[in-house]
Amino acid sequence: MDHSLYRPEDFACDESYLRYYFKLEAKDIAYWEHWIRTHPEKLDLVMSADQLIGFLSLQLPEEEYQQEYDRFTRAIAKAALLENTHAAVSGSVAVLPLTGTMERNRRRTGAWLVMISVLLVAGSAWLFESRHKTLPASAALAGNTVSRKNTGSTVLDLVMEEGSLARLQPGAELSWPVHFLPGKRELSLNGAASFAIVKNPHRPLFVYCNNLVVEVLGTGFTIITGKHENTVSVSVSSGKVQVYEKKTNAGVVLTPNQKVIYTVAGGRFETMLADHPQLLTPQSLPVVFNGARVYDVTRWLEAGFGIDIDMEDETLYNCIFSGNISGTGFFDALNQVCMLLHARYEVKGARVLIRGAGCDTR
Amino acid sequence: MYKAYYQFLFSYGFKACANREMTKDWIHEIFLELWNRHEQLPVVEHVGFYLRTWLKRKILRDLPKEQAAAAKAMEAGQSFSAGHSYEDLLVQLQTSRGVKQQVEKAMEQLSSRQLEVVRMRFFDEMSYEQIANATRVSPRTVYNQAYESLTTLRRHLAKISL
Repeated sequence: MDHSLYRPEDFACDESYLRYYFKLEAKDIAYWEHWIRTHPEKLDLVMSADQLIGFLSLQLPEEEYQQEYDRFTRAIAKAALLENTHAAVSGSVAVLPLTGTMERNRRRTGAWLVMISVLLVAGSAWLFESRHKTLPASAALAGNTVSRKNTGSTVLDLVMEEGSLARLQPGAELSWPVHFLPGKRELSLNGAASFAIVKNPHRPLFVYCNNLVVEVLGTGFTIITGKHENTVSVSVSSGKVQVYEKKTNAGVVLTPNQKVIYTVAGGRFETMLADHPQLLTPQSLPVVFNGARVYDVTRWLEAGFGIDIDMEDETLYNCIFSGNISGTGFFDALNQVCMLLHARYEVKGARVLIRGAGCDTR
Repeated sequence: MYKAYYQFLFSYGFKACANREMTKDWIHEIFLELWNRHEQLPVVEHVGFYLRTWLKRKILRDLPKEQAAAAKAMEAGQSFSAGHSYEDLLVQLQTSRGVKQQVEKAMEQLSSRQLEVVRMRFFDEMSYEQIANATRVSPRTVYNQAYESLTTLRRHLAKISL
């Protein structure tokens, strides 16, 4: 059946589609999932249809649903915290052993940790003037602070009072105020750590890494890694983060799959693509294109990874692509497309440019 | 699993009691209980059905008597929603007043027959076949009526994001 002329109303009135939407029949679910996958250009029509159906069947509006979801994840974070409290607990944080319960929790929770994750590493060489003295991580924070340092050889997980999680690499030290301020959450870090942060637009979270501030703006996964001693590198896998110098406020905003390298010496920010771009929403189903225009494929990649893709010769958009890009990384998928176009891609900053000779037009 | 079943449970709960906050709380409770005791729960074939029944038990337990009657009626397959009409519920579910008004206006654009068809399809979850039998017209006509209604609604709801 040809649904290519379908408008949202057609989907919403199609009983087979409705059975797919409400997950009533495996056959319909399989059919429509396949159809949607193979017609990525219809995605916005499908989404309009879904909105309409959701509305008519009295489903909770998306925003409220998100709030409930957050409420739920906060509650289970609290529950996990209570379950695993160790004897030596200071302030508002419990120390959780990495293996055992935490792993079990993580497997159960699946996506609850996928909120905002921040991995922050700063070279320690440039942190202090004297060789013998390390600036305590808490220096950046006012008031009473609590600090934990990972003196072990494996990662150390910490849970904040509102459910956010910090994973410290060996040698890292994290400080935070005894209680987060009502209007903002602040952390101060020496060394390398990753964070899973509970979304709260009313209470932005700041990570201070010496003279850099990382402000966590949106939801999603954010990973910040540092490589060398004189640089701090911040990389985002989803959500939004603002990285700027504390004194000058000069900085950049990073969106998913972008990375910035800050050089302390020159105070320079250099934005580029993350090393291993991830899909913004993980797809468990195969992603197959069958006779699709390259235009649609690149649009899908752009939307899926949040990375802009430019085509030097726009006639190449009309080439036809068929392929399976499930589970491949961004660059592998890009390579597949480039092979078809006898093309190469270039990464310019955080954008990708495809230059190619062309395909055989049939 | 939360994602997969949330809206499913929500529509069920909201239709039964027309109370958004209580429905949200019940579902929150259910998932928390699931989370805490998941090792002790029996393996279930039809998760959706199991969850729905759980929610129904909560509704019957917590609602005052008249509303419990409504829930029972729902279980018997009749459409009932604590005295609220379908349009009322649609409006009630929206949060902002502006959106509420737009929804009201949009619903007013439908004829009573159109509204009936939409209600039977999306609220009572009847098939076109069943609606046709109930209203003595052909399934094709029912489909067309539904289609026109949805087109009209979309036109009037286009400016708001649902």
